Amino acid sequence: MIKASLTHKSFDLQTSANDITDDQILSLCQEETKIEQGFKLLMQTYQERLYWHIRRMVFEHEDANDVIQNTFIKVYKSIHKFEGKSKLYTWLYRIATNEAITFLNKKKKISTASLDNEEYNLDNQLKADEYFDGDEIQRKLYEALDQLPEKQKAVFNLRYFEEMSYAEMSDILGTSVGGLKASYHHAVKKIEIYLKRVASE
Amino acid sequence: MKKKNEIKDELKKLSPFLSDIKKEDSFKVPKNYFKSLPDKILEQVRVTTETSEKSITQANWLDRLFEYISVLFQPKYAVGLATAMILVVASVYYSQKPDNSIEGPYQLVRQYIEDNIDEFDAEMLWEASVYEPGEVANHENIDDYYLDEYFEEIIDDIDDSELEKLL
Repeated sequence: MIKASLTHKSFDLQTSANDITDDQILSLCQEETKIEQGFKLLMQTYQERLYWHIRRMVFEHEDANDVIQNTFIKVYKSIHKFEGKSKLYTWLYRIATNEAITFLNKKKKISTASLDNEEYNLDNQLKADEYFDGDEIQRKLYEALDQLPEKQKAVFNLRYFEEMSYAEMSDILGTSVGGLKASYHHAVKKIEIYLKRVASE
Repeated sequence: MKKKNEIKDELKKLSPFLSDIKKEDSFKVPKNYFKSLPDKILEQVRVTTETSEKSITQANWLDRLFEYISVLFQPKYAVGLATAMILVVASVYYSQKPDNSIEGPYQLVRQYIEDNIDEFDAEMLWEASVYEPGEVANHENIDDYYLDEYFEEIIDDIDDSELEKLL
C-alpha cells in the first residue's frame, strides 16, 4: 500500500516532477488530436493532490475513487472551455471540492432515507478500514471533522492539512477571505470542543 | 516558510490544544493506484464520449420524426388535435388532487433570516451556530460584514430549535 505523506509542503503547484507546465498541458488539451495526451498529463500532474483533498472529505478510499473519477470526467468535458482566468490547479480544486460536497450530500440523503437502524459510527468504520492506519486521536479528529458542514470541512482541510493561503482558498471556494477566516476559526473551535469532550469521556 | 509559520501561529492562537496534535495523514491507497488511475479514467471518458455521440445520433433521428409530426399541425388536422388535447389535459387535471403541501416552516424561517441577515444580532447568530451550548466563541477579531456572509452560508446547518431562539 502507498501511504500518503504531506507532500504538499514541497510540491510545486506550477510544474510536476517531469517539468510539464500548465501551459503545455492546456495547449495539448486544446488540440483535438492531442487532447488525450494532454489530459493524461494533467491527471498525472494533479491526481494525487486532488485525491487526498477528496479523501479527507469523504474518508473512504472507494468513495474518493468514485469522486475523483467524476471530477476528472467533468474536467475532460470542460477543459476546452477553461479560459485561464484562474490558475489551472484552482479550477481543478474547485471542481473536486464541488464533486466531493455533492457526493456527501447525496450520501447523507440516502442514509437518512435508509431503513437500516444501525447507527453510523465513523470511529468503528475507520478502525475496520484497511486503508486507514491512524491512531485513536487521528480517528477522533476525523470524527470531529465529520460533524462539520461540508463546505466548512473543505475550508478546514485546505488550511490545516494543505496549508493554503486564504487568497488561494477564496479562488477555489468563491468565498471572501474574511468569510473563510470566520469559517476556519469556527471550525477549529468546534473540533477542539469535540476532542476535549471525547477525551474526558 | 513564512506562510507555513503564519498558519502554524494562527492555529496556536486559535487552539493550543489542536496545534499540539501531531499532523499526520493516516490514509492509504492500494498498491499502484495512482499508476493505473489515469488509464482507467481515460477509458471511462472514451465510453462516455461514445455514449454522447449515440445520443446525438438519436436526437437527429428525433428531429426527423418531429418534421413528419409537424404535418399534423396543418390547419385541417389542428382543430381535431386541439380538441383531443384539451380533453386529455382536463381529465388528468381533475383526476389529480391538488397539492396542498407548503414549504416546511423552518425552511421559510431560514429564508427570512438569510434575506434579512442585517437585522439579526451577530452574537445571537453566533450562539445559534455554535457546536456546544454555552460555548464561548472568540470572534472579536472578525469584522461583522464577514460574519454576516459566513452566517448566510451556514444558515441551513443551524438546528431548527436554535432557529426558534432567533425569532
